[in-house]
Amino acid sequence: MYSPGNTVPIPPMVSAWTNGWGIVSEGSFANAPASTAWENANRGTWVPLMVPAVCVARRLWWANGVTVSASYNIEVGLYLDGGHKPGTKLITSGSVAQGTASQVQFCDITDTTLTPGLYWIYVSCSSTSATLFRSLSAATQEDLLRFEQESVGPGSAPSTATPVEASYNAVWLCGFATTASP
Amino acid sequence: MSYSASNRGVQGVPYHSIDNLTSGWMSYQAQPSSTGSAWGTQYRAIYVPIRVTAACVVLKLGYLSAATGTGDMDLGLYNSAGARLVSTGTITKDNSSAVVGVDITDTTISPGLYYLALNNASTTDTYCATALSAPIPCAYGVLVEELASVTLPATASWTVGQTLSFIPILSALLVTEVA
Repeated sequence: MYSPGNTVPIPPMVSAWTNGWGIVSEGSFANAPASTAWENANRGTWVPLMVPAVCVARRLWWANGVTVSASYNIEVGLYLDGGHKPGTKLITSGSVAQGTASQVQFCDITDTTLTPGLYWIYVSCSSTSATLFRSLSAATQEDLLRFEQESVGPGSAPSTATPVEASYNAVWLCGFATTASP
Repeated sequence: MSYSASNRGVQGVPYHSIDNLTSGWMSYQAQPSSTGSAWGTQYRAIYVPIRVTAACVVLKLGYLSAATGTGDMDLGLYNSAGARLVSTGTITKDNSSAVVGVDITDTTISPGLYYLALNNASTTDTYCATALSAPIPCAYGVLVEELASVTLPATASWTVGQTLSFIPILSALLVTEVA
């Protein structure tokens, strides 16, 4: 039987900004992402992502801001849901030196198949001097549904998250690519 | 039969249009400006991702023009592997602030990820677009290719648009294939 609209095409780049997948497209984020200094050294942050169809994460990425240094390290990743908060680590980039300013920086990962469901996008940074792109929520932090954990700097993403609710209403521009290139 | 809003979409007469703002994956933050963005770089093709959720026939390709410029341009549709499925060939840009549809060879496509493409010969021609700081368009999956002429290539050799600071709004007029 013909049933239009039941195929879910997979976007090439997935983040909290991905319409129908991420919270920015649903929430009250008044402004487009802007280059901003990282919030707290070695803090890890998670935001939810609803994956509606089977897809494969082939690269992880984040958006570098205007001030970068190879001495600043970043780790991005994906976590499984653990009861509507971040649970078990699925895959991360490991610790990666920050690259070129105002560019999306990609990290190859082992291809990781995601089945439909709730996931959490993770990012941490070693320095408050490093800048990345982020948007601020105009809503309360509870509405933001962001979680965070201290002392989990790049290379130390916890195998199982023990997060607390957000103390800062930012969502950082990062996620995964379903394509290997470009 | 005349077109009316009440028979848009697959529940009535199955003609509908899609664009990279409403049928891509751009968040509501990415609202376009009618004042337009200058193309900026001659022969830089920009490829914007769109999602097609049902088998359909593409009847027209479209763009949101802004008021400046009547340079040569080419508008096309690519599959996710970078193969050109159809294009308008070289046409003259409209210099009004309007949605412009261009007839193409009717092209049947199946559901999936596609890219609408636009290339322009003039640096100053303006298009209604969403202005965003680089590299945000890259984070939306927008790709670019530096070409030697206005003609879109049969096979794209695209790269991520790391320095791109706007996203043109491109569209396609479809008829859903019910057979």
